[in-house]
Amino acid sequence: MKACGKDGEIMKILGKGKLCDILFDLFINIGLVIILFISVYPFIYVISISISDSWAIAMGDVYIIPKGFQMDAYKDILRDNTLMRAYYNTTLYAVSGTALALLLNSLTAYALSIESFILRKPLSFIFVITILFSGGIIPLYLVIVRLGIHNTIWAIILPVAVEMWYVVLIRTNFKEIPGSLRESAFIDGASHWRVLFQIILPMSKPILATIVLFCAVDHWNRYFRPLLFLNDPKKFPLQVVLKQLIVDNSARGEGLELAQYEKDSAMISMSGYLESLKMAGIMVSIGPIILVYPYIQKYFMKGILVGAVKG
Amino acid sequence: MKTFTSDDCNKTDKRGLWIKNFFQSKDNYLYRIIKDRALVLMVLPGTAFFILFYYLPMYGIIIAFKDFDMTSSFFGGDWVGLKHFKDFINNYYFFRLMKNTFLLSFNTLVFSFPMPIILALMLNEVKNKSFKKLTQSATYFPHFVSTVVIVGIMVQLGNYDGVLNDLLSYLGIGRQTFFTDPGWFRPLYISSEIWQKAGYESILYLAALATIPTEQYESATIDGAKRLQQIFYITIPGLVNTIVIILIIRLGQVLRLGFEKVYLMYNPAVYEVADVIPTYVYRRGIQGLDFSYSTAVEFFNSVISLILVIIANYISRKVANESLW
Repeated sequence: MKACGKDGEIMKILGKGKLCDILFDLFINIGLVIILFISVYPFIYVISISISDSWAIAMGDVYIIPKGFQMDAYKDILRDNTLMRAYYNTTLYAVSGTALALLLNSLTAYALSIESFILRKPLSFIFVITILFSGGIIPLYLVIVRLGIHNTIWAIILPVAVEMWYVVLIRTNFKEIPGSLRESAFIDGASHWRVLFQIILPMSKPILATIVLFCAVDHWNRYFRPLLFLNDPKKFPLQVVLKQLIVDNSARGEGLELAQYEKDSAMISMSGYLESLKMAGIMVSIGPIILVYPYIQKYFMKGILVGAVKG
Repeated sequence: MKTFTSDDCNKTDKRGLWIKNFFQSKDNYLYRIIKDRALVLMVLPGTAFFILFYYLPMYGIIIAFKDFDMTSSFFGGDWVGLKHFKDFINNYYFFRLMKNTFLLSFNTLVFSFPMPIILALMLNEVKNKSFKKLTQSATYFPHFVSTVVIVGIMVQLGNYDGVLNDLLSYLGIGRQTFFTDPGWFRPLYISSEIWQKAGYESILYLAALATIPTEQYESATIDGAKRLQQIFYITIPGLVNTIVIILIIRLGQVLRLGFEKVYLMYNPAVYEVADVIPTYVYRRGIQGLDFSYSTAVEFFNSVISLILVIIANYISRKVANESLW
């Protein structure tokens, strides 16, 4: 910061402190533009590869802007039965898992938000411990097998149906609702159920939306648990199938009915096309997230505790 | 038979009064539970959930001290004491596993922890609202993308004839075999971790920054403080509490490495640096059906992890007067 001392020649021209500010802003803004580029570039690259001409990809000509144009990769991906079934499975798991989690987390949070509830303290203590300790994956696996829910949808949605972080988040929100509202409803003869479903929940839409967001994204992206708790390939969710396609490098060339390739002269562009397929697979899997992303941003702040700390 | 609803309790009809008088006089605790039976009913599924999927597995840790196999009764088997723990400590891979787990997690913590703070400080200085918003949206996004996709993109970018290698060879560094060279495993793991999470974690710090009163900046400006001075004397001190709390939480999570990414990134060629306790537990336990042994390994890991969080909390309470409990 020496250059920004008191009486530099340029200082006089620009006015005191101005140059310093301009340099500072320039530094920050250039830094952020670089960060912005690094954040976005991989996705731009994925899109470009997914729609570029196979020959150009195989030759390594595609860096940022797509070369040529084809939509065959997307057509093949959307026609692939295995992937589409996985897509359906994931949607099913995400929707039912989120609905279940929303209900159970809200019920638990409401009961724990009532100060006069005699079990509130002991239960809160018992539940909060689960944030710190867990039995580990092997005993959980054995419990799931023993419960007989292994290889069923329940193995995917039940073990994550309640999350103490979410309960705490919802409960904090319920507590912010004035207690007088609840009291007057009780005087009018309403039960806890009616108070919860007709007063508290409708007033807590933002926090519920946040929970829906986190639960749904978690379910959409889950890979390890389904791998562990399901054996039937027909029940596999998207991420497990996607992993076989894009990470194991096993673009199932023979399984996919490739639109573009009847001729054997196309070995080189075939390798390019397989890259397009993988990238199209990625785009199809993150498509729903991209679509809802602009609308869900306002809920991020509500969920900071959960999203950034839960880990 | 008519079932009780909570309305019965609030409307003082005959039966409600009877129950009230009976239990109020005899046992206050039971009376209150019955009065709040709607709440008990609400908390019942959650309680059942935590018992089934948290406390039962916690109880299941006892198989670490037994010889359990799939033919045993539920968490049954013969007691063998510390046999599995001894086996693990005497295992040829024990030192490698501990070293890999520690190094990968600590390096990840050391390198990735400051990034969201720096990003938040930078974003905080941007005056152009729409540019700030654009940068935030772009840096938060990777957080919502699955590990499978992240690793898939890494493999695509880091291919031997991929973009990253094109750049390296253009710069004269030469092409690298990123995924089979043990030297690259940790840098790749850590940098992708930063790429995915730094943006989203900066939200926490931005929220803390928003609570610093603007008067402080105004009076500093009047006193002639430069922007950089303001950062060092106002902004960063205002963040210290948040930083300490997040650091304790992270230290507690340090050995709870995400299984997914290591599992997706590693292959036998890089086991010497990449094989960590969670992946070892998976291979021995789920794939090798060695349940007792792998539970012992996992338990060993979580005990160390718990000790770490207690130490971190103790130090921070002494040094920074800030603690989780």
